[in-house]
Amino acid sequence: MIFAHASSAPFSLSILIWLPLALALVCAALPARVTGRALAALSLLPLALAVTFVANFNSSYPFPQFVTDHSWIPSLGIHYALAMNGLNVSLVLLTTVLFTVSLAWSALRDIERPRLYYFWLGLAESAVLGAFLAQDLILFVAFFDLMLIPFYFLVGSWGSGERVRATIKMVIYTAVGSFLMLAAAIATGVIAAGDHHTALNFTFGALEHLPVSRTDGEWLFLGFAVAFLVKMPVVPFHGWLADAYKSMPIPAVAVFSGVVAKVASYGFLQIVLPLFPQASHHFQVLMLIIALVSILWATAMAFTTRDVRLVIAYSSVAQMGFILLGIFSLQAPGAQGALLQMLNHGLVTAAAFFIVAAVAARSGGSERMDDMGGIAFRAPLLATLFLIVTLANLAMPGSSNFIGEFMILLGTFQSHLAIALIASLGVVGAAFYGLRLFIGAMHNRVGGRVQSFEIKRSEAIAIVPLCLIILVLAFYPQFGLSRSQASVNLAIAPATTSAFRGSQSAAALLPTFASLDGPAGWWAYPLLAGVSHSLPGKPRRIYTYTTASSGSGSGQ
Amino acid sequence: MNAHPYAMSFLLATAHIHGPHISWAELSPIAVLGVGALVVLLVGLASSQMVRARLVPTLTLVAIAGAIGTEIWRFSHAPQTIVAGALRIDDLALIADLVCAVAAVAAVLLAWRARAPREAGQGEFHSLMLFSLMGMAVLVSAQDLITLFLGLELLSIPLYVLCAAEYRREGSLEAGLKYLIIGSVGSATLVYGLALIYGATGQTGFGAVAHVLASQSGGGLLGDPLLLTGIALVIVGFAFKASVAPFHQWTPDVYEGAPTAITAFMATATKAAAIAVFLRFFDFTLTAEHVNWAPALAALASVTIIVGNVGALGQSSLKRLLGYSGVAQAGYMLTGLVVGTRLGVSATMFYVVAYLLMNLGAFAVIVHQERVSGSDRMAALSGLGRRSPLLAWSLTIAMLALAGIPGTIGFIGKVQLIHSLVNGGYGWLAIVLVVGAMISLGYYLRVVAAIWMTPADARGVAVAGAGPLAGAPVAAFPPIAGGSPEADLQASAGGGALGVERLTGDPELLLVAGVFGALCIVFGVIPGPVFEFVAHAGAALVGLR
Amino acid sequence: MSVVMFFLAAGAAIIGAIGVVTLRNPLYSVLALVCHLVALAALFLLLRAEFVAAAQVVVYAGAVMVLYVFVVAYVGGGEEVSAGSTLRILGPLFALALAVELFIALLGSALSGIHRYGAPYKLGFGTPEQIGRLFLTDYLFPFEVASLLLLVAAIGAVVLARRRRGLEEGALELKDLLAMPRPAYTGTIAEGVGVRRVREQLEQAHGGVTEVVPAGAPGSEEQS
Repeated sequence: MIFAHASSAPFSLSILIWLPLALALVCAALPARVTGRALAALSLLPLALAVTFVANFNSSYPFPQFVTDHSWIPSLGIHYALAMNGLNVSLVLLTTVLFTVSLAWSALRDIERPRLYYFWLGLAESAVLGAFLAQDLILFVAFFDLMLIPFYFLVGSWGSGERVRATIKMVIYTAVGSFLMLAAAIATGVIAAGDHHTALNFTFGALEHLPVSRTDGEWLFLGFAVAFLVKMPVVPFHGWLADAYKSMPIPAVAVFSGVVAKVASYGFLQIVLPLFPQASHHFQVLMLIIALVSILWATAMAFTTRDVRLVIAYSSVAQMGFILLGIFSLQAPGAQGALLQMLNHGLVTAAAFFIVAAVAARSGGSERMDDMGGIAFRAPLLATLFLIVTLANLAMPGSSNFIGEFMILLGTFQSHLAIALIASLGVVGAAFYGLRLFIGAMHNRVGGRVQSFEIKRSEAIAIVPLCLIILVLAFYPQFGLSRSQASVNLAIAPATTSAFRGSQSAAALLPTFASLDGPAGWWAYPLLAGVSHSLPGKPRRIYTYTTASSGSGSGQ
Repeated sequence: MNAHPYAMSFLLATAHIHGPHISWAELSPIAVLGVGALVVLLVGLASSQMVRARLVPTLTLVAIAGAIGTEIWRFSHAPQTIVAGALRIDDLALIADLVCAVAAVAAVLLAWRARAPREAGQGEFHSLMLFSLMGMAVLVSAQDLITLFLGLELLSIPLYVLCAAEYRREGSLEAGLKYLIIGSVGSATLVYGLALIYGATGQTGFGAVAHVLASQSGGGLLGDPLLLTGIALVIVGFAFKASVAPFHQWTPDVYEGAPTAITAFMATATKAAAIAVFLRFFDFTLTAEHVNWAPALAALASVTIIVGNVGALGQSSLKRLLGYSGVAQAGYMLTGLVVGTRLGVSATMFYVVAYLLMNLGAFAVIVHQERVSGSDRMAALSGLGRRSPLLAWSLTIAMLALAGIPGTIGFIGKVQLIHSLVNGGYGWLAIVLVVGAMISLGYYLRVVAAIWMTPADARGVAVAGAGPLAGAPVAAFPPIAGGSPEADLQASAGGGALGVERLTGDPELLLVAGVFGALCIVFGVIPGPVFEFVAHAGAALVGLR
Repeated sequence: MSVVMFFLAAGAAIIGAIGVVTLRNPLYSVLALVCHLVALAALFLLLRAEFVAAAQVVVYAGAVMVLYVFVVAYVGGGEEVSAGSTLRILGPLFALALAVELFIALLGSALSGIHRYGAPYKLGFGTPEQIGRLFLTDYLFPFEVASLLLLVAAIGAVVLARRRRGLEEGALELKDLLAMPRPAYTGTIAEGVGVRRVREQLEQAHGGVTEVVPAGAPGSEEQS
């Protein structure tokens, strides 16, 4: 109907979401010895499915595609609504890739209580995919909370060190945010329906048409922001990070840092900016400062810690800071850079954690930098892969990360010059601690307990594919950019364009939406260039950019 | 009172007394329970031990099943006020009846092999339980101050005795005595409050009281100190029964001391009945006074949520933990009552149903734990995931549901409560609820951690039963990831998906734990049927928006 | 006249009630209760509820109290368990607060009725016949429930008080007999209000056998 020019796929997105869980349950019925291998092999299915969706994705169409929409709880207006758009398309693919790789890595090792372990991994994949694809606020919150449970068990049962303590800390920290988000999400729907006298509806598309008042928007914004900031995490909310990352089993930490944390930054783009544009603008500086503090603090911590795994962990805090910076630059390049960086960082950090495991295996199981050194001599291939990952992580020119960070900083320069200048320090810092880590582990004096050997099949199965993808992206970063561009512009337009921030004028624009995007008026912002003339005041650059690129219809 | 038709003719010795019309169809849920209780009591006198041990519980189940049948039969009929205005059988009452009856079924099953019925006498034990259930049915359908009070007493007095049923155990006797004394204080407070309300309005029928309060002449009563005092005392009286803070202090002690089957029954059925009568009395009878009682109840609800959740944090006994958790959950349910809308009533009843499903599974596991290890210490759960996966999963699901994790009925319940709160203009109460839910993770997750995240230790059982060491921190066990290889070998030898088919434990416990654990998930994913079910409750209370 | 009688009876009722709580000798306590009940009966008389007044005297002051006196005489007064000092202060404070609240309510409205005659008296009000009639008509259901309540009370008394001959099968297992030890001063209301004095008393009483770690206290159990 209204998605006439959206492409269609042969499958429903529901299949993509629930397939991993179903496969995990099926494999749990197999003998314990083969559970892991069977699931790792079968997990190529969701990956292939995701590739199919991405291949069918229409990059020039900024609205949700492959829409599934059923009423889930009619009395509360909650829908089981799934869709793919430019914001989540690459993240969905990333999720399936990382989970496949993690499962393969696990399958080649002896895992205790394998059925449970793979069940939780399967549930985690389903929940993460659900969170990315959900198009209903409550459904999103449900998946967002559900993601936590598998990791609670994965850390608590298969972790190391103070695992139970770490996992409870992690869950409580993140649940504090997500319960607040639950309240805020319900309040958003109820207030929006109340203000505009419509039936209760929590779908993003419907809520975008029902702006809440400025004051309501501000506290609702905070409810969502806390949840996302804890989950990312960024600095004042990072208390759980070190313990949890330290205790998590390697495959779990790879996917957690790679995609689970990205759900939060994705949430800012998909939910917070479009639904609370005024509040986003209002709190812009606060968020930028949080991002800045996060970058600087995490960089400093990555410098000082001697624990290899924590170096990666803090580097990802710094990267999440950059992503936040890009989103809240409220500029098109910044937001696009942030989205690209989510993809890049997901790949890089996951690969880095697998390499940490490989390195630790060669240094007597220790993850302390003091016990390492000189590994490269007997493991040149591993060292090469590590170097690729390190260079990507420190955003070497030529890597896709470079483009991401460049765009983020460009966006920030356009909006807040001083903050961007200070944030650039983080880029420099990353080069230092990244190289320090690489040299400390791979070169230098040979560590006391180090027994180096070349990369093994069980390690390569995870590291090599990720490095290959990193390389491909370095040559072809448009993969991430082109699909997201239209949607990103659409997502940040309300927060960026002053005309939209006044709810009066937004309400005045509402009648035009229906004629622009079909009778239901779903998922729509005015796209025709003509509408911009009717806006009171002069729209900022981004707005014209949106209309221009969509109007031409070709996109990138 | 002066509407009595025979006021002047009583002197005639030949005056013919017309008894009130009794519509047996509507009365049947209550009557079936009363008859059942008497039959069970008599059969319990049989000399054959087989008859006593098997027939009596079976007959009890039959009686409850009969009650459930009649309740379903009367469900969604037009509400009727019967027996001279004593009772009103409407969907709110029937839903609460059904919840209580399901709890009673589970309690009978949990008590099947327990010590309590053997010690108290099968007939007496089960007939007291049926009487208590009948008291709940009377209470939730009461339409008159006097019926209300008698229903409450009929509910409570059997429970006082049942708590002390394991007569030889000190804790049980203590629980019974404590419950008796504190319950009596609650009843006395309640009856005083009811008397003041009667004094202020001159009516005993709920409808008549509501009419007086809503009418023009009753407008002067809105700020009437006598009425307000009466309402305050009634709140206190109900709060004792529903274990609302600060009147909750008996709860953990009584829950811990009472036989676990009775604890399960008290925790779910009594709470459901108390909340239902709370709803009827405040959202129907006193709805005109909403502006006066709502702030008080909102304050009570927030105190309850915080006190219950914080209190549970330090507990090492599962029954005490569930006691405090029950206090907190009572606070959640009260919030739905505070808003005084149909939405709020439905949300509260939804949560009552959810609370029933979440708790019964957990109590079944506790009964199993007590039979295996003689203790309900959290530390004794260590390795349950391997010993008895079905029970471990049930308890895990129950805990996650109580914490409000998505995919379980607890999440939907909280969503609906928050929805009704925001909709009714009590956004701050929603925040309190959310804060409470956050705190609650601190103890629910510890239980789950105790199940799955400690290595199965052969000594675990013995240690837990041996007393002083039972409280030893679980962290003292060596943190071996995933537990011992031997245990895994055993687990894999058992074979099958997640080891679920390795059923250990008494079949009736497995049944209760499995059914209620599964229902928590099923209704968490497909909440539609429950929604439609409880929507009737909101519609039953006329006069709400 | 009736006003004078009212205040006399009300005063006697209150004094009796206070006596029940404060007198240390159980026998005196029971006698104070008798005084209270008789005063209540007088109040019922003032309300022209002759039947209730008579029942009050005959059943409560007569039969029930005689039973109490027998029990007290047989069992004797046990040793006094004194509450902690905090409770001793808090208890009266709360009682006072409640009394003040009730007084506000009563002074605010109910006392206004003192100058009036109250509800009109109808011939025959309060006679056994009318009460019986009401029981069988308007209050049939509560009447029946009350009868069941008596049955339940009887069953309960039998359950709790009968002589036990041991369990039917398997008798008691060892683990059942082991009292589940729990930390001192949990199972008390003192735990709720945080009275640590009780705990010390318990320790002294039991020679420090019980565990001293309060379960409710923070940090008593490490993260598990």
